[in-house]
Amino acid sequence: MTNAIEITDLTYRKNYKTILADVNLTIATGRVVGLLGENGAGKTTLMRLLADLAKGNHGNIAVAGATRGPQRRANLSFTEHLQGFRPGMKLREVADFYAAVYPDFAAQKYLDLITFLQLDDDLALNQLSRGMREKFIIALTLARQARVYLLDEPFAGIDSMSRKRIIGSIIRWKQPEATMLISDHYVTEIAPLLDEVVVVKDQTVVAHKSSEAIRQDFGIGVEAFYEGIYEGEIHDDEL
Amino acid sequence: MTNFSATFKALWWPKFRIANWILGLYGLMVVASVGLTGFSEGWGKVDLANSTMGVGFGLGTVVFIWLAFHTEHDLTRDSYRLLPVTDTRLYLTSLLTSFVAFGYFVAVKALVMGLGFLAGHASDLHGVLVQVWQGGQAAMGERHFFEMVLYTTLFIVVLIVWMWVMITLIHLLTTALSAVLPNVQQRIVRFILAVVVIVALIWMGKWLLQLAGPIVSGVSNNAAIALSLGILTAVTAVMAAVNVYLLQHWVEARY
Repeated sequence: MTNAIEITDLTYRKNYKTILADVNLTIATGRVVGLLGENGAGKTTLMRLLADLAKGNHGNIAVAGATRGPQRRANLSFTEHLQGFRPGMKLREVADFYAAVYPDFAAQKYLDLITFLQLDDDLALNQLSRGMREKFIIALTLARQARVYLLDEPFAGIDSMSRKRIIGSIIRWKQPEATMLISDHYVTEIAPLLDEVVVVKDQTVVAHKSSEAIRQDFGIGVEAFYEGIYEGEIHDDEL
Repeated sequence: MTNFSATFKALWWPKFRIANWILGLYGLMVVASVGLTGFSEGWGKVDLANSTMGVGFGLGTVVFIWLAFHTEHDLTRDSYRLLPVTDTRLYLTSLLTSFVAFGYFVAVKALVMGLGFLAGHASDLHGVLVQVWQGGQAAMGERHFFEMVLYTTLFIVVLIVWMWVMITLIHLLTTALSAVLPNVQQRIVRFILAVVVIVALIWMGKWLLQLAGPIVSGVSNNAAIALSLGILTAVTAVMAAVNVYLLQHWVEARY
């Protein structure tokens, strides 16, 4: 079976600065994976490279077997920041745009999602609070029937109720065969969701383990594992 | 993958809206002109031809610039760069939608002006057209006059596209360079790039004037005019290809 994500010898530099170096990562289909790392570790860049939004990398990237940019983008659904739309645009107009350009956009799933997330799609983008905007982005992203979902810090700066709703929507609407990569540096709330954890540190992937293996091998949870790596309590030779 | 029709519609609507905004502004200017004449000089003095043709100078330039701005916006935003289409299709569709929106603006404005003229001077229309046609024929001969109209139209079309392609080239080159150079040197390089681009623009402008010269002065050497048009078209195509290359390999979307 084709892996959801395959990255080989990936190196990416920008403004004479190495952001990612020698990244190798394989993620099987159907998994929910936490992409963890501190601010500036390269999590967003890695996702943007997967979506072919970041350019000039070395190495190979495949998303559901596709290596070319347009095909990779067809296979994945990415939480974008909606900056291409005018602020006065209504949510349903943005949804219409998505329905028009993404053949895998499921209109009924979108309606179910905005109902679940308590969004009124008659509102305009500039009427949304940060939490509502994040929920809307999640609704758009999950409404696609993609093979891979990239959720880039979906809980950044939003209240706990909205977080719970978003997590609920992820659990409820993720198709079994779809793979989900969720980047964050707040681990507590998403930890129960995660099948696997990928930790980005020092410009590369330093750990890729299943939640089960972390519990078995280290006797700790995902959050403690992540913090242990960053604080030097877990060494490279232990990974 | 997103097909051409869906890509076109997605990129077209915001530009159609821009054209309609400016057409609405033009409509308000016409109404204001009619109202001003009507109230100050009496409604009998209102001349729709004057009101429709005498206002709205420069609106075409506003539409042109706004569409150019929107095209650059499309090419560097995640919302559009995430579409599952090739960069070639994204770029060419963006350019095409800008052109169609501009053509729509020009056509509607010309229609309003034509109707305004007909409203007050319908009986003169035939005479004016005959005068223009005969004047042109007298100066250049029937065949040359027709070719001149055709080449001038084509030249304007290619020139408009060339200007948009040039704006995109400057934008994408600057964006691509800013990603591969250290932040410290970026300002210097951007400054140097700006100087180079301005010099190139002046040089190309001078060259274009030389190309346009024969058309404006009505020189009958149609082969030379056709060649000039061909060169401008080829230059535009090469620059467009460079833009696609930059999008494919160097220019990232903002987020």
